[in-house]
Amino acid sequence: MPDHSKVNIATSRPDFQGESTHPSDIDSIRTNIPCQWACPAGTDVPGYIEAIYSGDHAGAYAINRSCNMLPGVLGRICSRPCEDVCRHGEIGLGEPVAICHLKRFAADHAPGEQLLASVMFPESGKTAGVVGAGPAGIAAAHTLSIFGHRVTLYDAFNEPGGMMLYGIPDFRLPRDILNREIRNLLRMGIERIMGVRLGKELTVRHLLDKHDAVVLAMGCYRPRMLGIPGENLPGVFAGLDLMMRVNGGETPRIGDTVLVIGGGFTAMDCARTARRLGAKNVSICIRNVAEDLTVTKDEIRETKREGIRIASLVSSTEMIGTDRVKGVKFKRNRFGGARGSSRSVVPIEDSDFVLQADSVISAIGQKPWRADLGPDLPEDLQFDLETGRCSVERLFGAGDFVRGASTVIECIGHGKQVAEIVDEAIMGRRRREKVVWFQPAENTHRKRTWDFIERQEMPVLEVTERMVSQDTEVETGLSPDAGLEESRRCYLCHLRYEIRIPDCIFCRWCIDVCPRNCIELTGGFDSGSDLSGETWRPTTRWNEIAGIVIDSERCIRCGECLRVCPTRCIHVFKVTLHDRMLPGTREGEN
Amino acid sequence: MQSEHYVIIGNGPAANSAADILRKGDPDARITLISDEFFPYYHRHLLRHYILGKKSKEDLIVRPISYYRENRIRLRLGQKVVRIDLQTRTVFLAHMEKVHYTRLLICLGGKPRIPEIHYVYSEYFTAIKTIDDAEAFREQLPGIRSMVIVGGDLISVKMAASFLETGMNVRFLIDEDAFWPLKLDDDQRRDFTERLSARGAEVISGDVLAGVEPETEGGFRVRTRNGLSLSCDRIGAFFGLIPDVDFLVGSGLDIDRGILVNEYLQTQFEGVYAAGDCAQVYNPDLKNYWVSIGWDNALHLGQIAAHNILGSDKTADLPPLNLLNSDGVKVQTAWWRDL
Amino acid sequence: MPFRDDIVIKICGSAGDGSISAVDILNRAAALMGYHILNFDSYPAEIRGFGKSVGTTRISRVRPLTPGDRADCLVSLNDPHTITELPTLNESGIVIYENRPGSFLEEDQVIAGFIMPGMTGYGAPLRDLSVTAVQSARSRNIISLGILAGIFRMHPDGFEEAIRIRFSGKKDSVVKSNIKAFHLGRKYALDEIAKRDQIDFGEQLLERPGEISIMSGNEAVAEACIDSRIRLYAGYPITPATRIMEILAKTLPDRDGLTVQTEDEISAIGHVLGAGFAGKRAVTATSGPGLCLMTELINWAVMAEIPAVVIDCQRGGPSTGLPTRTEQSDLNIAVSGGSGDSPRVVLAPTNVEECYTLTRESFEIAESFQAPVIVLLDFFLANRIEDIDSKRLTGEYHGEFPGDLVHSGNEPFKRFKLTESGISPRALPGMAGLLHTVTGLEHDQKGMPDYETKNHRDMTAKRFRKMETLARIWRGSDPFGDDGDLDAGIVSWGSTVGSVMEAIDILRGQGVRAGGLFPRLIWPVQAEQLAAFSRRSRQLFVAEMNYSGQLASLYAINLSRKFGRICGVYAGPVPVQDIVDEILRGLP
Repeated sequence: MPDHSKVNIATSRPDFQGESTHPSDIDSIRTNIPCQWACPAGTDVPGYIEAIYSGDHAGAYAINRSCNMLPGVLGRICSRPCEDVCRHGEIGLGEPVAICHLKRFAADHAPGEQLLASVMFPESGKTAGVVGAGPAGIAAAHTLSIFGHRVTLYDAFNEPGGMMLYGIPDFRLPRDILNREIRNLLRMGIERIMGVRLGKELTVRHLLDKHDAVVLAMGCYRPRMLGIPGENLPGVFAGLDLMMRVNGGETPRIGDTVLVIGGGFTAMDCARTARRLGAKNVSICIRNVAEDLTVTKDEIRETKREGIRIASLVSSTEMIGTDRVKGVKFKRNRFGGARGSSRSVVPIEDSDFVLQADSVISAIGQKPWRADLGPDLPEDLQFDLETGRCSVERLFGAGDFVRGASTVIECIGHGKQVAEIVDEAIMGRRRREKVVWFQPAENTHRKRTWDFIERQEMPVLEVTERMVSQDTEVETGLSPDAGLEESRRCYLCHLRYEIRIPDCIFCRWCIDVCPRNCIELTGGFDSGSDLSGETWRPTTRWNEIAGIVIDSERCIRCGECLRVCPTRCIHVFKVTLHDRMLPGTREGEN
Repeated sequence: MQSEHYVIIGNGPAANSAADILRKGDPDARITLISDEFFPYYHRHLLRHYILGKKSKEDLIVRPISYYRENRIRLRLGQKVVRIDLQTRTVFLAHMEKVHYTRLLICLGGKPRIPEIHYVYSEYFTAIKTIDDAEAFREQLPGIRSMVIVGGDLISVKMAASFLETGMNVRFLIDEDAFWPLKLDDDQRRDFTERLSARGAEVISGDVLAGVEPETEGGFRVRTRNGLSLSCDRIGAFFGLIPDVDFLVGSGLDIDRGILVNEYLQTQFEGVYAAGDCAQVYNPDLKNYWVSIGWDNALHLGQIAAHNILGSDKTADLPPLNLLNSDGVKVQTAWWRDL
Repeated sequence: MPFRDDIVIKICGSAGDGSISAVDILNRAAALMGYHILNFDSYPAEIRGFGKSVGTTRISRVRPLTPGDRADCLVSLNDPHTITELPTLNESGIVIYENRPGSFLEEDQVIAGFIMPGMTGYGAPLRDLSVTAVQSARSRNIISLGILAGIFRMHPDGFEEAIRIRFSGKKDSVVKSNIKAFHLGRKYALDEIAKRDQIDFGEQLLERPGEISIMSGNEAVAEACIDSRIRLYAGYPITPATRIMEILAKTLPDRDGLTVQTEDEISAIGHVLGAGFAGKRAVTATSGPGLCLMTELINWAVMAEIPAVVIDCQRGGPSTGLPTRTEQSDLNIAVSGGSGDSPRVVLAPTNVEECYTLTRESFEIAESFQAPVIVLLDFFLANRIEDIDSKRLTGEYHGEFPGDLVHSGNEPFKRFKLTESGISPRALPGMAGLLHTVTGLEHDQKGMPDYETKNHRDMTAKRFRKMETLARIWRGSDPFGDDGDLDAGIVSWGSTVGSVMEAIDILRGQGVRAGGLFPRLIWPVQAEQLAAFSRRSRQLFVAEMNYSGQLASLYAINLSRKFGRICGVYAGPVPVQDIVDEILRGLP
């Protein structure tokens, strides 16, 4: 018997309150709070937006801080998987909530001092080494120190931050924000050894001797090559190299006309950086079409607004030039015609053409740098993509180093996840688990009219103002009014509405008033054979009615049903996901 | 066997010519035309005459509504498609209705394009695309004595000619981006400028819009990069049309400048076609995609798509003349010759 | 924008959506603004809460005579039901609908998808506006009234007052929240809806009418019964007559009267005859199936010369038939239902006002002529609502037992005395010295059974003589339309008359000389009037709402000429255009 199935928690116990680790309840986060589930770091999105609405910016920041660690950073450059699944963005409901902009809003308006962590484990006496101070490494180091371990963080560069520092331009991520938030994470006694490179000053064997566990999180720094003639001509830049040089303070000469090859964040960043370096005509050349770009819509719009063109359906075949690049030869692509779901492009025979360029930036991505792991490790060392484990005891991998180039939020999520595995390995048992809390909640304070508030646009600088310098931030942040307004848009999907059927008189007022047709009369319930809870059969025949349910996956938490219900048989729960220490851990380990 | 249901999104020349062919070729099928405009199929090129009061609204109508009844074509006007599910072959309408098709033809035409660099000024721009735009402009016309036109395209040139007739002061601001998606060579540009100037328009070439401010007593002030400051009652933004396909992003259709289709006007999904201005058509001889602009091309493409839907293998032959290059995409048009 | 001052609005919903009460408010509001209205609702025959409920009202500057063949505006409170009403909408009609349904529905399940080219659709978030106004979805009907007022630019004052009247007796907050809902809907229409139709009432108010009554035919009948000071209503409920009983059951006890629900219609008419025998005014109301059961006792009333009034609200038949559909097919049984030569009086009002006045007269006729009077309404007339100048709701009252007919003198009392008029002196049971027998057997002048041929011949003639007297002295019906010779003369009766009058107006507009004769006294026939009209008409038509042409057959002998029958059965009132088409076809 499931202890709490999909529909019967409230119907059986209107005053239910407590916690559950049951798979169906954990799964209910997926179906009920899609944003939180989509976040690799499991950010409690409705929780922090609710805090913003109530004016508690510090609280909103703290919620973010405990989940994704770098709210001010992610509030600017996150890839926003949450917004793709936001219920407000479902067809007919408008645009997704500006979850990312609100994260930044909370960071902008939170007071400076932040707490370290809400739940700390006692000191374990164990030590862990983390190589790579990028998002995955920082997340792993921070999490391991919460577990009570002594952590040492190594990095080849002199400053922590990794790709956030070297790969992302200032105009998208101001350095003072980045540095402050990283400092804040590392001030839990994490030792930093900077300027040391694995394979030179460090070896894995040495680290394993020194620490109880070692996490490799060196990221992806080796540029992928186009593999075409002329790629090594002067004037051809690797995207990441260019970014690192510019972020390091250089101003490379790139000329008037620049072609950027590639379609990711780095390509966009390179193109926009090129504009700031003085290039007049910048084109981003992609194999497929704009829809296939992995960057956000806002990013594409801002890029285009800066006068950058996107040349679609082209594949570079050769860099032209003798002593310096003069242009790029392309083949035109076409889509493969009738086919399945794969969006394969096919170069068209004899469709070559040349675009002139003073510089070419090749930004088609990076891959991990595996060669320097050292002679004492197998060359083809494989890491488990989820747990980060490998065939070497006590050695783990995290982030892009394991999974290939991804996003900051994915790296943070993975860093946290691997840290838990590491802790389990060090301590010999799991000490933390996910738990779902149910609390009776007051009715939502939301008003139906708020569902029609337009998504607040991020204010940006005029193009001419942007070009002043490389470190002029383009996005200026939501105003206090806009932030509050945007926070009203969140449906607060962590509230769950349930009808207690024995109290219902089937007056159907709630059905009449429901704007989403999410309240259904049912002909009966079916208990699944697995533990996924009960399902129901909707009916419209008045003589078949056996019950009434609210479909939480469709429900937009408007609260109208609750307000019309004459028998108060509708109950509201707040459902939140937490980390829970497993028993015996608080007293410390023996 | 379930009979065919041909759903055509759009109600312009491509959509209507396709519907005619489909009805002839398949007398028993259901045919549905869906358009978000309330007004039936009308001659867009006559809008300028309507604005000047030379034509009535009714004069613009191509065919009476009774035509659709007689030919058993369901005409859904004022209904907007918000989503297409190509797997379940369903069209979702804004008023929350699902329409299932067996074959789908997309003839969306275009919407006025605002370049991203001018995006911030879009609220100050006047664009005239639909009869509703024209009606609003017609009402305001008596109060408009001067107009600055930015961009430049088929519609703008014809409109300008009409505005000049009323004695309105018309200035053209032609930057390097004008005539999108075309790139005129110098001769073509000179030809165009001369024709426009001969009509009495002032052509400002080689300058770029750099700012717009509304003026307190109405009207606008336009600043250019070269420091000109132009005062006017209206700013006409004519940057060409782009297919209104935002709602198709994510549907699985390939979309670049338009909906990418092969030489048979078929998308990569079986039974799903695109025609008219919204289609970007592959041509094996050109080894490239091309887009068409204009009424006659739309009529032609609509017919070809319909024939192919009915089972033929007609290719969209490339009209031989007047092919222009734009960012590597071939564009078939001859519009300024009419000036 | 051309000014339209004649519009038909339909509000369609599921029972419980409040479409009928919305139309009720709309009626009153329009009437308060100085317009005339004619409202005809239809609602499900069976279970409450699951069927379709449609209120149709026509608002016009000139008094409308029919609810209009087709609607100009359809308000949907329930899309599946409204879709079935669409065929009744004009090709250029307007549809008002919920534009925020909760989920995507299949093709052709959404009214908005049916808005054909030429029609105009206006979407509004009816549910959300209702929630804003009253915290529930229950005022969507009032919201839709606000939308109507906004779109057609109707002055809000009449609506406010109508809402107050509708909800009088309810808590003040109910009135206030409904007025709020109205204004919210109106504001939405004014602010958010771009007007694309051609109907505009103009914001100005017409001259405010004096005291008006807004009532249905049934309500007018009940009102007339009360004003005629009846003492007894006996009946067995039947659609569409039940409303009469409902009203009288509430009012009679306070007016020294009594309402009895009998076990069947035979008993009901029996009660009425008993009261009539005892000299008390009594009435029963029924529909066709009930009238069938009553025929035997109505025959008895003819023979025993007892006053009785029977209201027959006709519905589709035969048998149980179509309880909520209208038809004029009880004429045969009303005129001649029964054994023997059985003369009785049949009256047929043509509008709501006449439902009142003719009911008032029916009591006077029944008592003066000591005979049963059947008043024929039909579903449409019984249920349609009109605005009436209250001053016109009057009638004569001569007391329930007119004294001048009581025997005086010294000769023995002859209850069934043979007189020139056929009307004999009447006495009530228990009156001193006026002992007489009352029987259903053929009887002599004193009332004693008498089967002699001569007596039967004299008595039958006397009973028919009463009818001749009535036909001679009754005021008759004014001809309608053109004077003098007519290209087309149309005879019609009852609720069909409105359609015929509008058809005549249309024909006259097309240059056809047309006129109508609409007898309210159907039986006995006023032959001279009929003959005169027939002489004036080059082509003569008889129009009525039944399959067999019952009035046409009844009058054929009097007309003794060639004439056209316009008859047919419809779900609702006869469409005006059908009549026009028939007549144009019948003209040379």
